[in-house]
Amino acid sequence: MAAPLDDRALVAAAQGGDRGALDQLFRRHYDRVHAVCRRITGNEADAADAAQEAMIAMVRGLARFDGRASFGTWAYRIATNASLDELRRRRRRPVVAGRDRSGDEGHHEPHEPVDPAAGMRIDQLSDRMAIDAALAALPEDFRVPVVLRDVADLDYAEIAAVLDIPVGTVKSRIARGRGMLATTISRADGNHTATSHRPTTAD
Amino acid sequence: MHDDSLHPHHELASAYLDGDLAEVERAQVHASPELTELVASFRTLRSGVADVAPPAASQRDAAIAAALAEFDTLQAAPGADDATATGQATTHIAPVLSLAARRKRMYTFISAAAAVLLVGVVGMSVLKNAGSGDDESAAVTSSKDFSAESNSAGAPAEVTGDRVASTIGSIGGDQVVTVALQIDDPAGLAALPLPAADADGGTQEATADSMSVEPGASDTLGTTETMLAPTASYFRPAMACLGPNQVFLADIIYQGTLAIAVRDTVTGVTTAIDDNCTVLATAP
Repeated sequence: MAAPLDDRALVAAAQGGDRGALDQLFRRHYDRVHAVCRRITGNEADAADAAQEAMIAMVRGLARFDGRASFGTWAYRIATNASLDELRRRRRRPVVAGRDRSGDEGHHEPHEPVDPAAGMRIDQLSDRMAIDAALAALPEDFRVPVVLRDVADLDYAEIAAVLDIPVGTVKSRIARGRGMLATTISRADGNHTATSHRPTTAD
Repeated sequence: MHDDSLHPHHELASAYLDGDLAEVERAQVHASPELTELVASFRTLRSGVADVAPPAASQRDAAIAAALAEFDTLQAAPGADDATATGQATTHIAPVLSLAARRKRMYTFISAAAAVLLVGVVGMSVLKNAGSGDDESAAVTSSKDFSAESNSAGAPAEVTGDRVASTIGSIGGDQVVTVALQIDDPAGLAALPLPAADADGGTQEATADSMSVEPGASDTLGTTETMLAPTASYFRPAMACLGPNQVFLADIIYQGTLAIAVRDTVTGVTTAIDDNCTVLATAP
């Protein structure tokens, strides 16, 4: 069985018109692209839109991709821009009462069958929602570098290239962002704990 | 939440987590319980941020299908192969055509443009003439007038049955448009070519084909085509004035007077004759 082609070979094949190579490349990277979009936009619906826009933008820009950066770095840069565009569109979009785009977990949960692992999933869901909330509260300038570091696994130099800011700025924004996230989540945990243990009238 | 000041411990713990510290600084972190706890906290946080629920397979498939459809579209576009092969932006590259093909294409284009222009000019003139009434020049005559003059001139039966030819065909149903050449001197008269049918020794009868004026002919002669009024039936009274050896060449407006140009096939003399059989000009 032949070893799978690396990204560079797949990109070259796709640039030469090989549809199958492009399909393979996209399947390899889609989940990570989606994750970046999910963390930057903060909800599933916008993430799906942004991820699809990003994939289409990659096709349109494929001929110009020169391979100096890795395909992943290039793809996450496009995904980041698509997500930020989606956020800007969202800000201009009127909010329809009764609908929210707060996330897939909330939408899909009622349709999921009840099973023994449900309790564990609820814990995971709770953690994810807490992270979502903390990330949503984080200013964009800090959120995006943190997401590119922790989700896309880009190094400081790559993030600096994606965001077109100095490496030192990337480093400090990630540190600040993590600090703010930690503070927000610890406060939320404290409130949650306080609420959970608050005596009720029944007690 | 907007307390975004950079705490030195945050910077150290964050850089430690990312493997961006020198050995001395790493030792500093290891020696500090507070920093070690902060690193652990950031590590948990990083796991949480990276823990994104995977997208549904259908969503993944739909996104990739949309992207591949875009790929197919770009590949189908002209010049896509060249662009992708050279790693350049996709641009439309004109196909290579032979010089003959280019010329043929150019002539076709010029012919089409000339036809459109002619139709436009004639159409505008029709509208102008239809709306101007008494202000029309001598060249514009209603069919009724021509019929009356024809009757008074006693046109031959074979001529009265002919309708005046139109170079562009009928406009608006039964209306027929006649195009006349504006000629102001004998030289222009002499330069008129014989109608094709006559040149071939064919009939001299005024038929639609023989009286049609080629748009190019007016260019060659340096004359101006003037459109006569749309007529239901245009009998050319001057046709009754033709001599035995004379053939009809064209409807003309000679120095502002509606006339016909005829040529004597024996002498080669070309004459402009108006509807009253008056010879307006003669050219050898």
